[in-house]
Amino acid sequence: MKPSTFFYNIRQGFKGVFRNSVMSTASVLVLVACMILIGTIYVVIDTIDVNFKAINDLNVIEVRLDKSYNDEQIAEIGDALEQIRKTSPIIEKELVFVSADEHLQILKERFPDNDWINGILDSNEYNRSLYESGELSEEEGGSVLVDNPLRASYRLEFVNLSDFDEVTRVKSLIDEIKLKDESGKEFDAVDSTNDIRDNIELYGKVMNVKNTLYVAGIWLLAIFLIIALFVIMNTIKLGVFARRNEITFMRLCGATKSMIRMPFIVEGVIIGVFSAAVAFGLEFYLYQYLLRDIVASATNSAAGGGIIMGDFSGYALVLGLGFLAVGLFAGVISSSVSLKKYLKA
Amino acid sequence: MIRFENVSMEYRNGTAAVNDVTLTVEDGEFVFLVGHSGAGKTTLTKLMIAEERVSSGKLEVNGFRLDKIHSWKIPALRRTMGVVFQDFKLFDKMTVYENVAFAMRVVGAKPSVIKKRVPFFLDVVGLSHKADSFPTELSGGEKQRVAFARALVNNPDTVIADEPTGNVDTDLTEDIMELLLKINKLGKTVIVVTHDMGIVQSYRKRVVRIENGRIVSDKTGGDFE
Ligand SMILES: Nc1ncnc2c1ncn2[C@@H]1O[C@H](COP(=O)(O)OP(=O)(O)OP(=O)(O)O)[C@@H](O)[C@H]1O
Ligand SMILES: [Mg+2]
Repeated sequence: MKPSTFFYNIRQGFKGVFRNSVMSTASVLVLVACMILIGTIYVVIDTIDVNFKAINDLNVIEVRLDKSYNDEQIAEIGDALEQIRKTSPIIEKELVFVSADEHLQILKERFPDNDWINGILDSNEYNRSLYESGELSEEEGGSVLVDNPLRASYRLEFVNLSDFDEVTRVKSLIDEIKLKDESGKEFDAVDSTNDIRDNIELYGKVMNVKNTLYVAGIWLLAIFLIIALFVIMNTIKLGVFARRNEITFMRLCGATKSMIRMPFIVEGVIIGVFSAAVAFGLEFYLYQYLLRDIVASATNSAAGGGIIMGDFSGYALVLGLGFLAVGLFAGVISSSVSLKKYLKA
Repeated sequence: MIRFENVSMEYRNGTAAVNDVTLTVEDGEFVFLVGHSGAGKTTLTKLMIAEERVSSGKLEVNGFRLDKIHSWKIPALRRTMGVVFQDFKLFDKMTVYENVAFAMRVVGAKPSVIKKRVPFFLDVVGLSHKADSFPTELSGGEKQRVAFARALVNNPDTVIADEPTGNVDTDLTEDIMELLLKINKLGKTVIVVTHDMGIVQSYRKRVVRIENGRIVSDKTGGDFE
């Protein structure tokens, strides 16, 4: 297309938008609503994902080991767990052993300023240095060194938690693991209420919320998009109808279909791009100044820390491109459909 | 060249407007197409620009086979034709200048070319002083001449004028006929649709007469009463 033709079509497209300012405004409003909806659902789902990763133990069964168990007994429980792991199709990863000291380190990383944890670490450090310089006997040192209230544990990580029956089965198998005391009498190695820790119910709930959001989001998106297409289509149809004589004449003059279509496509694109820009600005405001504040004030009071919400800049590219894509799609599709009738031969 | 071979055409409502027409117009010819109202003259011109499609027969126009043309080729065909429509098809919201320029715009002409050609053709039809008027402010004859300028401005090979003298007095009729002859001398094929037997008589050109969609006579230079 020649540059002069290109600019002519751009001008015509703008004229079209303003010729029909009421309908154009309606189109922009519906399209903006549609985009904001998509954008908000997207950031909410992403926020859930991010926070999921932050609490990464949700899909883990942790088997805590009694402090009185010796290395052999711990290994025996490990073997039993390994057998269970092999029978379950929803546990894929290796069994992981986490010692009490490692637990302490993990806690230290998560809560670096916690006095209680730091106190334990400091006194252990101090006692170890005393022990190494010979000021404490092996016996004394050893007893001080295990002054860690945390327990060692085994971790089983599930890949798919939708199968609650299987999770329950695995838990009851773990509950049945036995050890033998010196007299050869069997006793329960793991107590289901005190030794098994899991967040699987919570995980299921969060998953449900997320899935509901996905489904609701896709439905709302589809409905809004159809409404938006309908409104833009009518906007452009009005323009096409107002200019039907021109279109007929253009065709009789030997104008190509693309030449006839172009001003209307431009009109649709202008509506789409403008809507994308408005939606982007609104979404920015909504996220940065409303959503984050609301979430912050709602979770600040709750124990266990707030919900992590990233800066809007992290979403800017995805949302910008997404809005633009929706706008262009809606604009081009609706103007093409509106013109179809007038382009036959 | 325009060649109809046993062409028939029926409108969607069943009206058989053209019946078994066979007609050849060579490049550079000047032809009057005459016949009573409703005979099918306008329909024949519509077939020539593929505004309507033939129902049967073979139709070739300026190298395009219109009985089996692909719709994407139709713009190229139409650019070889300049039509002065019976109802003018002028746009009331555009000035005379814009009306003529629009015809160039829509086939992608450059603004610089448009600026040169539009005033030239307005001058040819004697309407330079009305360039900024709107069609509603013009007389029937003036509208007709705007339609003429618009048909000529894209330099077509073939010019079709549907009732070009329908709304004008004798003086203007002569002017318009002079213009058509001038165009014909430039090597363009000219087809004039009319029922004004007066001009047909005085110019002694080829005359094709149709009645009820059939060609009933095709003579040159004779007496047509
Ligand atoms: N769009 C249409 N649909 C159906 N029938 C039509 C249509 N246009 C014209 N006709 C019919 O086709 C026949 C030929 O019409 P056409 O317009 O070709 O006549 P004409 O020779 O140009 O007449 P006039 O001198 O009055 O302009 C007429 O019977 C007319 O009623
Ligand atoms: Mg007619």
